[in-house]
Amino acid sequence: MEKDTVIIDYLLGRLPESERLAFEQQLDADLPLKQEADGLQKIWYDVQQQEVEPDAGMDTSFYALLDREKENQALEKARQQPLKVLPRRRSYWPYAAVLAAFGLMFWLGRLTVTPTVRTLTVEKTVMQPLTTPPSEEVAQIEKPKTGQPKETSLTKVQQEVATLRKELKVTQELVVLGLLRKESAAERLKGLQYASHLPELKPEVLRSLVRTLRQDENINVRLAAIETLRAYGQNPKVREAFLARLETASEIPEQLSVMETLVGLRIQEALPQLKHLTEDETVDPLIRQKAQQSIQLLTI
Amino acid sequence: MTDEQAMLAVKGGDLDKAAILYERYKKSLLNFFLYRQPSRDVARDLTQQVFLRVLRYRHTFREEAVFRTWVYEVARNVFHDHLKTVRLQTNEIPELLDTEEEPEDRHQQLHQALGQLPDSYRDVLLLSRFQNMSYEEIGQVLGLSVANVKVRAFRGLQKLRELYFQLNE
Repeated sequence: MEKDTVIIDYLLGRLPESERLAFEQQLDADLPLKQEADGLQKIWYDVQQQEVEPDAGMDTSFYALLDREKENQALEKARQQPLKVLPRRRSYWPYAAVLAAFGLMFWLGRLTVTPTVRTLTVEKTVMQPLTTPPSEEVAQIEKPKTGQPKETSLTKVQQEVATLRKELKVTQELVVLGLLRKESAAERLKGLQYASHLPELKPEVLRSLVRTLRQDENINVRLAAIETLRAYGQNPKVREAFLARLETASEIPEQLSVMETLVGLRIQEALPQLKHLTEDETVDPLIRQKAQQSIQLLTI
Repeated sequence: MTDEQAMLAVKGGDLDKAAILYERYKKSLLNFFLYRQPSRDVARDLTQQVFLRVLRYRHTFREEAVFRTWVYEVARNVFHDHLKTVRLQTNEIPELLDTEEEPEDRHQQLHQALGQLPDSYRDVLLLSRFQNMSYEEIGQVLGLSVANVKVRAFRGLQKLRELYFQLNE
């Protein structure tokens, strides 16, 4: 046994210098022991040569995670602080900025659209008095000039645009489904991000999102799934999934997010589970407090 | 700044200090997971999970604790949870390292041999290799005496060599 431990100390480089030299002398004198040590040393050396370097994607994911945690921390701090009355003046700034942005966009839009409209209006004044809305004007102007073929081509273009839109939507849904099945959490997060931008989701995509909420092992992915599914809170399956998640979620940020969603969607069926959380002394105090608040909000 | 000082700062709310710990430990943790299962994507995700838990459970880090041993306890828990999830989802025993495929080179063979090594041996070797942990620290993480750690390290290497040669035959 002692020989074994000396060999392992030797191989792992944990023998003091004097003992190492003495052991090497012993190895020179003992051929079987030397063979044993050489064989193990070779395999240990190989293990040490096999390291893989982390890539930039891993760094990106970590720093995104850190930013998210910092945001959560800031939110948590804000929640814990008593509400302060801010000067009213300051709260108007975001609205003013939004209005200014809309104004600017409208002005830019006018600048880019004006030449076409002007041309049509000139033709219109020649043919008809200014009593009809612009969209009808176009149809009325074009009718006498080009007749049936022009109208047909317009309809055709509209149909093509509609087909293209439909195809684009199907492609987007397929991309979402594909990304949600990826092994990498970053890819799955991307899938959820895409899904949140789709105007409406097919039942198949919705099922996949619910499955992600129920089963994904990555908490960031589950949190993003909650965010995305919130918009579909009227769907019974989605409501069921939120309820089920309240029961199974064990990490504080997820529990908080699920409770907020349940309150936001007014899911009264969550009350027994919330009550249970408030009574369970093994549950984190923050969660118990949040559950109590949720009960109050749901029973108002 | 030591690991422990950085972690205590994180615990105190200075989350930016987690970046110091990440830069110090990302490579060793990535390799730690890569020697337990073959997918680099999964190893990346698991490494991220470790740092997520470090941040989320920062309040559980005790002042007298050694960060290196604490973070590897977290890493081992993350891996066990991963195995449980894979089992639940597939209803099968998860494939750790692919033993069906013909190995292309020594790297893969060594990976396979490590994958077939019993956990108790592999943990000792990997903790020793990737974190250069002392016997005492490894014992603390795995709940073993120093003598036991040494015995497992020795037997682990013997077993690894045996498996490696079997794959070469």
